[in-house]
This record gives sequence, structure tokens and C-alpha cells, in this order.
Amino acid sequence: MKVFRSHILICGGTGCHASGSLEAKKALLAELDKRGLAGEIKVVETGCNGFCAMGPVMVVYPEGVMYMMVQAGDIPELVEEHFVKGRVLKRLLYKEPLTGEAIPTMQEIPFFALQDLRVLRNRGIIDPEKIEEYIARDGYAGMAKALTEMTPDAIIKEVMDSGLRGRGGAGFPTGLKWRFASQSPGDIKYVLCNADEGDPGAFMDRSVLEADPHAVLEGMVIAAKAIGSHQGYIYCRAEYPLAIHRLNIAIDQAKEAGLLGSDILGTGFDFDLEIYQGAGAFVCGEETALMTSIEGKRGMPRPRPPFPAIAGLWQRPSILNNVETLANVGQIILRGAAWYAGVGTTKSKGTKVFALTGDVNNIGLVEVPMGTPLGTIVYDIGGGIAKGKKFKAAQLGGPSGGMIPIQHLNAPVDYEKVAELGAIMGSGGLIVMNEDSCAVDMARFFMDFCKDESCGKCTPCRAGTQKMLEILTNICNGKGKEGDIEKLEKWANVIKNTALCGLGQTAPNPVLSTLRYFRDEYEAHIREKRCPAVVCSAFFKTPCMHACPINMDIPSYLALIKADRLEDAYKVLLKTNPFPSICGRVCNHKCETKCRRSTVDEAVGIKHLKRYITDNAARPRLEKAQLTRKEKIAVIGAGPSGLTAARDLALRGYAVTLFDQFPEAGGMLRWGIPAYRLPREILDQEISDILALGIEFRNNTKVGVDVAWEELRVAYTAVYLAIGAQRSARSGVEGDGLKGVDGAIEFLREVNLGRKPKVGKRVAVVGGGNSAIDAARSALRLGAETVTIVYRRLREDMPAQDDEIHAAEAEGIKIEYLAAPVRFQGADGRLQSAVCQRMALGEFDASGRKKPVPLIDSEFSLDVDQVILAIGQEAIFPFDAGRAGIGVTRRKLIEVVKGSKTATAAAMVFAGGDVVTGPDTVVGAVAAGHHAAAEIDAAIRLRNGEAPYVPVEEEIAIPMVVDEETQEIARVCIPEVACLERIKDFREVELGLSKEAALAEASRCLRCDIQIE
Amino acid sequence: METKVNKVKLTIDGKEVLVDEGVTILEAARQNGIKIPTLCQHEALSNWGGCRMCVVEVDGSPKLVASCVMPVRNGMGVVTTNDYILECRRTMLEFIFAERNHYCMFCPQSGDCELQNLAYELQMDHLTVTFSFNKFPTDVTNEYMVIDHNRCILCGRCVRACKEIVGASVLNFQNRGPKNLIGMDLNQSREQSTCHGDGVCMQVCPTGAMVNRYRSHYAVKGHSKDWQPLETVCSQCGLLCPTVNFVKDNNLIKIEGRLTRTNGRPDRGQLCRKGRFEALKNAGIRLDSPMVRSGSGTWKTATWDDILKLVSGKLNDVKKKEGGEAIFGLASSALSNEELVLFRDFMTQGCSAAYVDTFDGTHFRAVSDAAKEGKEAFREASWKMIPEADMVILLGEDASQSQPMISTLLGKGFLERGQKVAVLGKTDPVPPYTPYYLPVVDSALPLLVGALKTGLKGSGDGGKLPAKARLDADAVRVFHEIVKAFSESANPLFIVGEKLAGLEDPAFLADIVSLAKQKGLCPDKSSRLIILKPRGNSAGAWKLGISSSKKISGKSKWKAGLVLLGEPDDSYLAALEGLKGGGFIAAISPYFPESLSDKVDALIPKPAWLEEEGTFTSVDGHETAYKQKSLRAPAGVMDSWEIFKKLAERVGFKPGYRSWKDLSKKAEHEIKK
Repeated sequence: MKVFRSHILICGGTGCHASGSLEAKKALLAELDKRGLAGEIKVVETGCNGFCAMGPVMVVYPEGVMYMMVQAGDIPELVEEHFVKGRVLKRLLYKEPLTGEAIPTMQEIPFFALQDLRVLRNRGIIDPEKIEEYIARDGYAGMAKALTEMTPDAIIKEVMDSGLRGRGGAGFPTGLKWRFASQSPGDIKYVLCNADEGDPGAFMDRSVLEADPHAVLEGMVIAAKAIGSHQGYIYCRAEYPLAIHRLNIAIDQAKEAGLLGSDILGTGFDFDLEIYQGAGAFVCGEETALMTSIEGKRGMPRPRPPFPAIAGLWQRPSILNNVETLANVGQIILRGAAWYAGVGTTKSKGTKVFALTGDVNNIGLVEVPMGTPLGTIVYDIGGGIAKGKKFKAAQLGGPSGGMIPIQHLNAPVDYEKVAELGAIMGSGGLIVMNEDSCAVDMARFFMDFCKDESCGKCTPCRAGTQKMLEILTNICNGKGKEGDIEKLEKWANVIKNTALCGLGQTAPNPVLSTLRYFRDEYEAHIREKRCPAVVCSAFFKTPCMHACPINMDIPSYLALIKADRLEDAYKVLLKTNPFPSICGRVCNHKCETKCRRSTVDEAVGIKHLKRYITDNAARPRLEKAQLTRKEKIAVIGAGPSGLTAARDLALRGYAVTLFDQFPEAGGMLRWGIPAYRLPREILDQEISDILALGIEFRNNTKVGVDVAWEELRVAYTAVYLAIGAQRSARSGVEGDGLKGVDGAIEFLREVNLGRKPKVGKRVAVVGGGNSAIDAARSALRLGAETVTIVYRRLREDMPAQDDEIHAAEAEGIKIEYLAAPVRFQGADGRLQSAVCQRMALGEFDASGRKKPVPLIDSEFSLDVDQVILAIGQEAIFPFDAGRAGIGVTRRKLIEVVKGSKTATAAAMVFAGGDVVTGPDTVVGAVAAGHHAAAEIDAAIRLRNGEAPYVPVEEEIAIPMVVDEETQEIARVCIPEVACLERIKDFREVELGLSKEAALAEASRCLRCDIQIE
Repeated sequence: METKVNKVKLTIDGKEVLVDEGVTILEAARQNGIKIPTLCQHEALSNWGGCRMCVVEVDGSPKLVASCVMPVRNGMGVVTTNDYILECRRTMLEFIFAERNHYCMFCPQSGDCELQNLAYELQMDHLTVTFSFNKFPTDVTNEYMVIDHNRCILCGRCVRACKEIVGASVLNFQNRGPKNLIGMDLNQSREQSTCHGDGVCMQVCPTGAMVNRYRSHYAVKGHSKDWQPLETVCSQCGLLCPTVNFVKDNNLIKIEGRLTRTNGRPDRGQLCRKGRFEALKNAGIRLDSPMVRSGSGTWKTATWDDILKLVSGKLNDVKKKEGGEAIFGLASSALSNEELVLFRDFMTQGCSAAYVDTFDGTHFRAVSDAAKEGKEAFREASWKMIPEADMVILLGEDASQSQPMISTLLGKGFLERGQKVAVLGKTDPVPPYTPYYLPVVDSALPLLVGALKTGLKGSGDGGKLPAKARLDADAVRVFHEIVKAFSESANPLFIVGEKLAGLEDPAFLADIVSLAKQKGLCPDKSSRLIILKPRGNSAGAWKLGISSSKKISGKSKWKAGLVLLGEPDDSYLAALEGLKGGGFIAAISPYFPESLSDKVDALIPKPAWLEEEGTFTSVDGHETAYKQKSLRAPAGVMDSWEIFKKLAERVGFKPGYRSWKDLSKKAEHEIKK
């Protein structure tokens, strides 16, 4: 036998063929030939390797170096580097999605390392078109054992004992199915293999057939022996030409070798099989429909009983097993039931192959032991969610499966758990969805699929799915009505319980499962006419606007920047946002996360452009508002929410009095955000503009102390509570009371009051939110020598904005990840050190982040003289909420009545902002202010029997110009003051865009608002 | 020997019942008087389990089962109705109503619709589901039936009926999901498809998706509960298919076959397009009072007295002056045995007419000559033998025109049992299924039969095919295959078309008779031969000796003649041409076809087909059936009994029967002979 110094295994699955593996192979052979290496290096085309999204993939043995996305053009360099010079070609290696680190060998790539290959054991290793290679890997040994040493009963017992269950989805014990068929009387029996894989996004069976066809044949012969069958059919969809091609080769080779046909291995046992090509009806995966189809009739399911084990194909006893089930059988017989049952859970044994697709970094086939947590599959094997988005749910079981949401990432994936969570195992399609997927839209999509694929035989499946789809489509189109959810639930239930076959019985699953986990999204669509995931385009002009809590007209002001009409742009900003120059600096810009430009290159820098307008246009003059109404409104708290509400109400003609306990208005804008992010003059100007509308501002007035609550209730028609969350949460660990252990809110307030608080030399900030970063950077500016942020998870879990974290790091702030304080130590009541503990990440919590778990004996001490706690904020009530009739939640926040955004249980008392939501963003507070004003106004008008308020708005013509072509251009970067300079004082760090930069950036907008008829 | 059926005990709605093992829950419930609503289920068809209207709860499981397909099990606990089951049924019914266009008030089926009835039954008086407003095509290409897919509920009854009863499988489902349609062949229109137009699909359709184009308006037909169903037989082609004629206010609304899973007949109650639709057609001008032609050729109404006096007077005169030799009688063999006997006796005994014949006498003479040639009396095989034959050789006939049911049986025989069907003749009766088909003109058939006979004598290749037959190579191959198949056949049957019998070549018919004899006799000792006959009661007429062995020709000097007609169709009246020759001819007829106006001198109205009762003899002469009267004749029309009684009185003839009953007995007695 010829010995080669190296083997190149190039993937020849359908996926890699599509991405160019055949061309690459050709180029490789030519290149090796050219360099005279053909005699030393052997090229083998294998079946699907599994890492399909990275195709074409190739593995070089004996080293096991794996190259990804190898195109024919890469071959000369690859051969030169790897085979001539003996160096690994780094460029084509796998890169870890988060770190970008290159990983050379297959064994080290987590995608492969964490899998347990049984069904796929030969994938990417053997040439599927050579029976010798299969035999060399123990192929047909199980069959030989079954035929020569075992009785049918013994085979069935072995399969029963192994705990193998049907991998087609229903999970019926395979051995039991065989037993029924073997006990069924009849001379003619059939063994059928279901290779009619039809779930969108599922390709497990195809891959097995392409990579290891003999494993399926071997399984079928064993099954035939077990039940006494002599004829089999593989029902394979015609859309799988490569699988059929390789199956045909395998069948021919097996027959030639005496492993199939008559007198197999001289045992006298006959078994022949044929491939039956299906025409691609989804329902033909259902066993009775499949049999009807083989009989040459239209593939429609038949009622059961009679069950196929009694009367199946042509009314003869038959068994139907899935490709994956059969591919397991040879190994079970060869290695024994105990070996097989060695992995898995109590009721679900062995491994399961999943086709991992969707918004996950590593797309491909994975085989894991039953019971592997979903999070492990998605994050550890799948490499997490692409583009830094958040995981939302995984659709398991194809279009008739269900969604498993973020709070169940720890769920061990086996038949029982998956069913308990409202999904089905299905054939193993696992579609990962990120936060940009709308639950209603997904349910609609899957329902549409089932509706189209219904064979039409039974009423509930054919007509019911249509009706459900109509409702789902209406909801997605903004035409959802009250009662729709109840109808969906009722119909889903009827269809589930009356449909003839599995297709109909499971078709409502996606609806039921999304209703179970994402009912709020349905309600948002129906009641608020809003798609929280910003998918259903009927609700919005553009995704950015819909993502914005105050629905800012982003495309319009971007268009006006492009037209250099900045004053008009400013007017557009002020229509919805009283604080555009503030938001241009500190907004967390949810708009950008949904920007469609990001599908081309990067999102448009909307926040920076907003600031550009306010930096460069004169602020439009505001007239004093006309007092047209007799009602007086009290707004308590002059933060962004209170100011917004006061402004809106004043513009609607109300007399508004604004109360605040501090000398100046602004709330968290002023006391929470340091000046280097938000210069005071900017803040002052926007606030004074609002107050200039004619709002009475009573500063230094604490409600409950300076003014009695009851007094307010009498003097004012309505009260809006926008009191925020004004106190830092305490850590609760030992030494929390030491001097030098401060709350971030209190610390920042001191700073912003201009009191120049003393900071320590070595400061630790505990927490990972924006307040933590603000406190850390402020401390640095106030003279701290070292500032360390202690955070208990990883960077990607930090709630703070990414650019803020970057800026902090640039300024020299150290972040200690996976650590948390356990006690603060000091002497004489003064802090001296913070003792921390290392954390490891354990299971996933309800938010989808991994829970930090303390590591034993991992304490370490940080030598600090100040600790700033930024681990949460609490509200302080100025009065007894209970006596005032206002509901308070478990989190000590005000409870808003159902169906309203701001109304409390007390009449004409409204609340909004952080005191309702907990610490939130500026724009969130502004939104609450708008809602409060609108609801207060509506309540008063309703009480008076007046018509609803109709706003009067200035019409601003928006240029409707769209670029015909889009070229990839990087997003603009905002210039900043150099680090060494800026940390000296509180000057503004970000400098604003130049006109050129702004025009270029505004031109990147795709103008999703323009509809082309 | 009776096979012992095990009994199964189960509980339905709290009632313990004992039923045969293997029956469905639905059957068990029905046997015990418990009603479960159904749509796709039909007693004559296999169970389908599609509409899910019959869902019931078994052993308290929330998953309901379709009772029409779920076999009973010992100890099973079934609940057929509770709030949840009703909710499911109503929801599904609403789904069906909303899926397509089910606006009863605009539907021709309203008043005769199972879907509508079910909605009433389940008290579904409004929809909580919005309509889908899908648009589907309507097929109006067929003369008798409309397919409106917008009213289809996809229950599949028509598909099963077409396959199981008709054996045609023209109908099937096509497309998936909401686009699902009942298609004909590969998406053809009814006319372009291979459909026979039997209308069984229409009969089993529970909604207005397949509608009869006749009498389908509510204003005409009203509600089905007001109809009178009359169980009778169809006498149009001699197969005597049992029918139910629905009558309202002396209007025929529709004719249906008596469909069953097994009714002892191979057709299972199918009916053909003739039996189902012909009687609904507007048949032509009815004759409702006696009429006389004046010298100038115009027709005038006459009183009964006048007409009877005129006709009997003329017949009497001629009889007295010229004798019976100058009198002829001609009758349609579509009439009942009783009427034929009345006519025959009146003519021969009352008028001493020398010549009494039927319009298809030519055929009779050819066949009887052939039978004599064979030297042995032959008795035709029963048409019910067709399904049992392993090979059928059809000669010179488009059975789909004359006896459509026979062509259906052949198609079914081929599809279901692999029956070998050879067709020699111009038209192919069952187009897609005929493996042995020789499309030759009728005149070439005698040559082929001769060759078949020599071929079978074992001259090897059977190859001496007469050049005159002008067969091409393909046809020669087919011919040889037929020879081979016939020689291998154990139980063949010849079917000879009426046109062929009319060829007047006794030698050729005798060849067929002797060919049929080669394989012996049928189990009932009849010959392996069926001769299709032109009219509904030709066999009766032949047996009653009305079809004369002597031919009436225009050469004789006729002075008077009486013609008895029954059908609106006047194609055969050409036979009257040349018989007139100056004499007097009177016709007794329900209709007044234009072609009669210059051939006869007096017209006596009589009741039409559905207005008369009487016995008919099947095409093969094997059985006789009684046809009920479905409609009343128009006022002022005397029935045949009265007419002949009065005519007989006037010519002084006293027949031997005093009542219709007597007459029936006599006819029956003669037929049996």
C-alpha cells in the first residue's frame, strides 16, 4: 500500500460544494501535481464536515490543521506555505469570534472540541464513495454480528436496551417499534428509511447520507433481520441529488461486496433496497403519507390505526426509521447497548445531531450528548450570537416546533425537557434567533410554512392554519384586534386536538410557544401598535424611528443635514425631543442598533449627527406658551422626565408648577452625568428654554417636607411624580459602613454640585453600568492615582455603553472582571482595602447572561482607600405611598395601572421615569414625560367631556432623494480630546463632527422612510 | 358458511353497547341510534377521516379521534358530545365556511346541502371567523354539471366515488394547503378530461361544489324535505339501474343512483349520464291533445272522440276493404312490455295487421339469423358477468354512448383486476385503459373476426390477415396480441355492438357466436356473448315477438298504419319514410317531433316515459324490472291502457286481459317463455 506523508481531507458536502470545494479540490490537485507533490500528499473528498458556514473546509493530517473558506485562489499560497515551507497558513485558520484569535487544529476549535461524534463519527474522515473506508472504520461489523450471531429477538433486545429513540422527532423507542413489526404476522414486511428532511434550516439527514451512506444501509439490514423483512426503501427527497448519488454508489458497492441483496455474508438472509425519490412535499415526512407516496399515490396521511407495524406500505407490516436513527444502529449492535446508553439522560440516551443555524456565529452540524444544555450548544459550540446581539430564543423542531427563550438556556436538551418547554425535538433543526427577531413575525412565518405544506386532507390543518395565519398576518400588519390572542389560543387548541396527522397537530406549536414566552410582544403589536423587535414594518416608517422610545424623525433630520438645512433639522428634533443637544451626547441610541445600514456595513452615527445639528444651528426661538386652560398641574422632580412633561403640558395651555429639592433643575442630567460628557452650558440652555415657556419652577422645595403632599393634591388638578431613583443601593457586605465606601449617585452628585469631594488615591468602583464608568472617570479627573472597576462578569455582559468602556480604558482605568467584593476592611472606621473574590461563570440566568459563581479560596485584596458602589439605584418616596393610594412594586418602584403607561392607582396621580422603570436612560425618561403629559391631558379632557387634543405642527418639507447605489463606507468616528489632556479636568471629551464628516455620515442613511411605489 | 364475528363491548355516551369487532366508532354509534355529524363520510364510500366533524373523545383523552376511521376496542369509553367536542366541531365548521365562498343564499345547492344542514344542526347562525375571500375557478365546460371550487370543502367524496364506484380516477386532489383543488386528470377542464360525465361525484358532493345544471335553482327545487323520493329503475338502455327520482309538485327535481357499498350489482348504484340527466332535459314539444292533419297539411286539435273515431274508423275500413295485408304497426322498443303487448295484440288481433315490427327489427333479424347459423340456440350472457370475465372483447361499439355503464365496468375491470379489454372498432370506449385497441372501421370487423377465428385454429401466426382490412404494422401487432390473449383466456366475454348487429352479415355474427363457443359456456350455461341493443326495452320487444322476422318495406301498398312512440328523440323516425304511400298513418306519441308532421295524419297523445309504469327487460334478457310512475301525465292525456281499450272497443276487439295487472301478468308470462 502506498504511504503518503500527508492527507488533505477536503469537504465534499453539498454546502461546501456550493461554496466552491470542487474548484478548490481541482486547484489543489493541479497545484500538487505542478509541484511534484502528488505522490506524497493525498487529497480525499469526504462527506459533510459539519462546519458548513465556514466552507469550503479542509483538514490536513497528520497535524489536524483545519483551513476554512478555502477558495481555489488560495491554493497556491496554501501549498507553498503548508506543504513546501511547512508553515501553517494563518490567514485561513478559524478565528475565535470574540477574541479574533486564530485556532490551528480542529480538535481545539470549540465547535468541534465539545461535540461527541457517534452518528457523525465518519464525517470528514472517510471518502463516502469508497466502501473500504467505511469498512476500515468498523463498518458493517455490527451487521455481521447481527446476521451471524444474533436472533431477531436478541437484536431487538439490544436496541431496546440501548434506549435508542426515533430521531425523526417523536422519540418513539426504536426497539419497541421493531418488536411490534416483528410480531406482526405476514411474509412480506418492509423496512423504510425516512430521508424526507423538509424542515427549513435542517440538514442532518442529508449530511449523514452524503458523508456516511453505508451507516444507513447497515442499520437497515439489521432492522430487516430484526423484523424479518427482505425489501426496503429509502424515501429521499429529490432535492438531495448528491445524497441520492452517494446512496446509489453505496448500494451498488454493498451489493457487489455481498453485504446487500441475496444471501448476505453467506447467511442465507436476503435484503434488497431501493431509493424512492420524493417530490418534496413536507407532509411526506409523516410516516403514513410517506408510505402512500411510495405506493405511487398523492402523499396524504392515512388514519391510524391500523399502525404501520400492522399494515404499512401496501398494507404490509412496515417500520419507518429516520436516517439518524438507522445510522446509530450498527454501532449499537457492535458496541452494545450499555456503551450507547452511557451518554444521555435518564430517558433520552445517546447523542443527537442538530443543524445549528440562524443568528449564531458557528453555523453547522453538531452532535452532542442528549441533555446538553441549550446554552452550551448556542454559546460554547455555536460561538454565541453574531454581531454582539442578544440571544432571544432558539426554534427547535422546525416549523412545527417551538421556541425556547433566553430564560431556559440552561435547559438540558432531551425529549422530555424540550416537550416540557413547549417545543419538540423534531429532526433536530435548531434555529437561533437574536433580539432582532419578532416573536409574532416568526410565528407567522412558521404558520405560513405549515399552511402551504398542509396536504389539505383534514379541515383543521388546511383551513385552520389559514385562519390562524390570517390573524397573525393582521397582527403583524398592525390590524390586530382585542381578542385575537384568545382566538389564536382557542384555534391552536382545536387544531392540535383534532388534526389527522403530526403536521396538523404540531402546526400551532410556534404560536403556542411564542404566546407562552412572548405574549407581551403580541400585546404590544395589538394594543400599542408597536413591534418591540422592530421587525414588522407596518408599524413604522423606519426601524430607527421605531426603536427610538420617542419616535424621533431620524431620516428626516438626516436628510436635512444632507441638504444643509440645519435650522429645519433642529425644528424636526424639537418636535419630539426637548433635549436634542443632550441626547446628541449621552443617548444610548437604540436607533442605531436597528439601523438597516448595519446590514451593509455599520449603523449610521445617528447620535453624533444629532449633536452636529445642535452644535451648528441656531436654537430655534421658543415663544412663551399661551395659558389657555384653567387646570393646574404639579410636576415633582425636574429631571428629564419632569421637564418633558412640564413642557408638553405648558404647550397644551396648562399652568404647570415644577418642584425640585435641589437648587437647579435637571435631575440626573445635572447630578448624575459628569460635565466631561455633558457640558453644563448645554444643559443649562435646554433647561432654561423649557422653563421659559412659563413654567413655575420651585427649587429647593422638597415635597413632603417643604410642601405637604395633601396640599398639592388639593391645589393641583393632577400631579406627575417624576422623582427618579435617587439613592445608590448598598452592597450589604461586611464593612459597607466604613468611611470611604460611597454610593456612586451620591458621589457624582457631590461632584456635580461643584463641591469637589475628596477622592482617594486608589479608588475601586464596583459595578458595570454607566454610573460605574462615570464615577470611575470622575474620580480619575479629581486626582485619583489608580482607579479600578470591579465587575463580577465579563466585559460583554457589562450594561455600560461600549464606547464609554473604551474611553475609560483609554484613560487608564483598569477593569477587574469576574470579581466581586466580599468585605471592606479598614481601621478606625476608614477603609483600607477591599477584599474581593474571583468569580466563575456558571449557568445562565433569566437575562441570558451566565451567572457569576464565587470561586472557593480565590480571595484577593485590593489596596484602596475609596470604594464607589455603582450596583443599583433606589427611589426615595417623599410621602407615604400607601396612604396616598399609590401602589408600590416589590422593587420599591411605583406601580402603574394596567392599560396605562403613567397612571397610578390614585386618581389624577401619574408617575414616570426611573421611579417606575428603575434606572433607565435619558430618552426613556423623556418618553415617560411625553406619555405622562398626554395621559394627564387626556384624563382631564375626558373628565370635562372635551374632544381629544390635536397637536398643531409646522410642516417641514423633507428632501426625498435616494442614492441609487450603496457602497460600503465605514462609519464616522467622533474626534476626542487626547487622553492625557482630558483627564486633567472636566472639559468635554467628544468634540463634535465637522461639516464634511457630518455630510458624509448623513449620506450613509439608506432612507428607509421613502416608499417607492 | 357463516364466519363467526367477534363482538366488542364498549360504552358510548354512558350507554353500554355490543357491536361487531372491526366496525368503526361511528358505525357502532349509528347502530345504536346515536347520531354523530359527518361530512366526508359517505355510506357507499371508503372512510376517509378528513373533515374531522365526527371527532369524539375516547377514554377522556384531550386529543379527539375521528370516529369514522377509528375501530372500536373492547372496553373503550366514547363520548360523542360534550361542550368541548361541540366547540371543536363548530370551530372547524366555521373554518370550512370561512375558507371559501359559502354564502348559502347565493348557492344553487341551498336547500339540498349537507353543509348547510350541519350548520343548522350545530346552531352556527353566524361566523366569528372572517372570510378568506380566496378565488377559485369554476368549470362550466360540461353540459350537465358545474364544478365550483369556491364551494368545495375538499371532503374528497367525489375523488373516492370516481375511483371506487366509477373506477375512473379522473378526480383527484391537486396542490397543497389553501390552494388545494379537486382536479380532473392533470388539471383539465371537465370536458377535456377523461370524465364520463356520470355525475356520481355530483351526487355524493355534500355542498354546492358540484351542481346539476338542471333544476338547480331554489325557486324551482325548494327544500329537499319537500321532495317525494320515488324508488324506481331507469329504463333507458336496458341495464335497469335502480334510481331514486325526486319529485316536487309533479316536477322531477333530480334522479340519483341508489349508491351502496354492495348492492348485488356491479355498478353499486352508479348511474350514467343518460340515466341521471336525460330525463331532466327539456324533451321537446309535448303533445297534450289529439291532433289531425287537414288536407292542406295544417294540424288542428281534435276531441278524443273524434280522433278515436277517425283512427279506428280508418283501420276498420282498411281491414274490411283490403284486409290485414294493407295494415302495418310499428312500435318503439323503448316502451314497456305491457304497452308493447297492448300494441301487438291490438294490431294483430284487433286489426289483423300483417306486419307488426319495432324500429330495431333489423337488428333482431340479424341476431336471430346468426343464432340459427350456429345450429344451436344460444342464450346471451348477463351483463353482470362482465366483472367476472378475465377478458372482454368489444366489437364495433362505443359503449360509452350506448350503455355508458358497461364502458365504466370495463375501465374498472382493467384498473382493479387487470381485466384484459380488447376493443375492435371505431371508437375507444375507455380511452386510457385499453391495452388492446384496434381502431378500424366497422366494415373491416367481419374480416378481423374471420382472421381471429383462423388465428385461433392454430395456424401459428394467425397471420393471414386479409389485406382488405388495411392494418398497419402496429395494428397487426395488437391483433396478434389479442389472438394470444384470447387463446390464454379462461373466461372471456364478447360484447357486440348494436351497429354491428345491424350490418346484416349473419355469417360474421355466426363467427362470433362460434368463437364465443370455443371457450365453452358461462357458469350459468349462457353463451359468452352479449349483444348490445339499441333501445331500452329491445330485449323485451324481441322476446315478445314484436320485432318481426319479416321486414316491413315501403314497396308494399300500405293503406293504414299505426305507430306507437315513446321518446322525444326522433332520429329513428326516418324508418317511416316511404311507408306512407297514400295511406293513413296515425301515431300515438307523448311528443310532437317536427319530423312527424309530414309522415302521419293523426296524432294521439300519450304519457311520457316517467309518466307511465310498466315492466322492462334487461338488455341481455336475463331480468325484468318494474318501473314506477314518477310523474302525472298532463291533464287531458289518456294513458296507453285507456287509448288501446277505447280503440279496441271501436274495432270490436276484446283482449284477454281486463286490467293493467292482468296485462302485466301476461307480459311477464310471455317474456319468461
